Amino acid sequence: MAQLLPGKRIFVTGASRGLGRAFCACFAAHGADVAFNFASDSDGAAETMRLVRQHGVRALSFQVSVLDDAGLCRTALELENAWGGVDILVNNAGVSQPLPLALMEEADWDKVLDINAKGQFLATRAFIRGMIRRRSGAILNLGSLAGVRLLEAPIHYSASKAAVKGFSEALCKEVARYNIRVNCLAPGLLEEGLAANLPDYRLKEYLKHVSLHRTGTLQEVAACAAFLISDRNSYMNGATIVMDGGL
Amino acid sequence: MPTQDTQAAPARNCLVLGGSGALGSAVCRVLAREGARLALTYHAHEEAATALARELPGSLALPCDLRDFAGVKETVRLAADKLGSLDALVQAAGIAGRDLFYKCVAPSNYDKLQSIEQTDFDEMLAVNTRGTLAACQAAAVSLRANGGGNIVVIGSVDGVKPLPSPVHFATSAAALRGMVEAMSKELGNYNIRVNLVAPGILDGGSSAKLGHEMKDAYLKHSALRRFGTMAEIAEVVAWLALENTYVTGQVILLDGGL
Repeated sequence: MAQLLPGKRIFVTGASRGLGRAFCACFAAHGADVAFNFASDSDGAAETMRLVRQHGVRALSFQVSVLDDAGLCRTALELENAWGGVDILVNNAGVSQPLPLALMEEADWDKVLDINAKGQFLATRAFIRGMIRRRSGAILNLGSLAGVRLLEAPIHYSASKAAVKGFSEALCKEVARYNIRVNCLAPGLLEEGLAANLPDYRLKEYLKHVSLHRTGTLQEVAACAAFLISDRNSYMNGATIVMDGGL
Repeated sequence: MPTQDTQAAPARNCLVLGGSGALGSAVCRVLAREGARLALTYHAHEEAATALARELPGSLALPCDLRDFAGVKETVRLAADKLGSLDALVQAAGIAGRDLFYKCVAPSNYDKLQSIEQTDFDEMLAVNTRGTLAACQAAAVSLRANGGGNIVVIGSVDGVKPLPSPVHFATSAAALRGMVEAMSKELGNYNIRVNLVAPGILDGGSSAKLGHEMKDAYLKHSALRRFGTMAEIAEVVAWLALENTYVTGQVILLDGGL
């Protein structure tokens, strides 16, 4: 298919590796300029930059945490100056910890809820100002199957991802008046990421019940995300797209 | 990943039931733009269907009555045969019911439950739900032989979200969810993805039947404050039919944020 995102300026949170990196590479292949942040993995960030630049588009990376409000605002301002602004925000940064309730400390709960949920709120608040001014934008928030279905998953991770769904739905109501669409993408287990934490027997059991009997690839999720944020998807708003191969 | 030249990729063969309709024809045009070869079906609108088939290179039009269970399956088989193989089925055909069900006093007071005759219910379910099952049954055979593919059923936001809607219409639409979910489980074994697209009120097609009270209420409560266009729905349907490889068993809501 033809490029879906020519000329779009996209900011992806948490792109030093994994799904965030796959998003950046895919969006660049679809013609977008791509900027992203990372917390600490400079080598990973450099590799993501290399993958984006391969497509001849503009690329920028920022070492700033999604919990650093001032840093996020500074980043958004820098992009207003450098690129004239950001058209699309992909809230991807997220973490998990394989902890049962009995071993979960308050600090563990706070860490996962802060990065996964508050981080999306802060990044959105920083980047939406420009979208409101331009009366145009799209936001894609990464949720998870664990936030929409009954699954055996860490409780703080599931809570944070359920929060992302509610956040996306309420936000879509509030900012649609500025021609900004907000949707949530909720993947199941993928070839990389949380699946790595699972013992083999747990993964085998999960795949038995997945209609396609395999995990999703990062490429598949990125290709879907590219469509979801594109102008072709202009009437989807407040939706949660579950991408789980049919659990 | 995008390719520079869409002609380099092999053409995908798609069957669009109800391709003669407002939404169906929009789907056909987007599919053709993306390089697909099409078979499209019609029931009452033969002229529109044959005109569209002439307009889109390599496509053909076939008659199809969704009431006829065996007939639907035969039509799907014939289409797959004429195309050579099948990569995707789009089910865009359906009925909305008699006009009286769409004349309302107020948007929250549909009050038409008592007007539903057994024949209204039976016809609604036969066309919208049973006809869809027959089509998917037949398409699954060809898709399986082809190593997999996509089935995209077009339903409605009615039956997915609680809305004042003719009860038999909402029933026929809601049933599609269970059908798609169960089918996805069975057909996933053959790499066939099955999804339901649920549009809200659109700027044409069967939405034209709706009274202004209903439309005004929708505009107030759908966040984007406008109806969807045929093209917008068609773009999503086409992506699901041609590009989707991992989404399955899902309801894809396209209602502007209702």
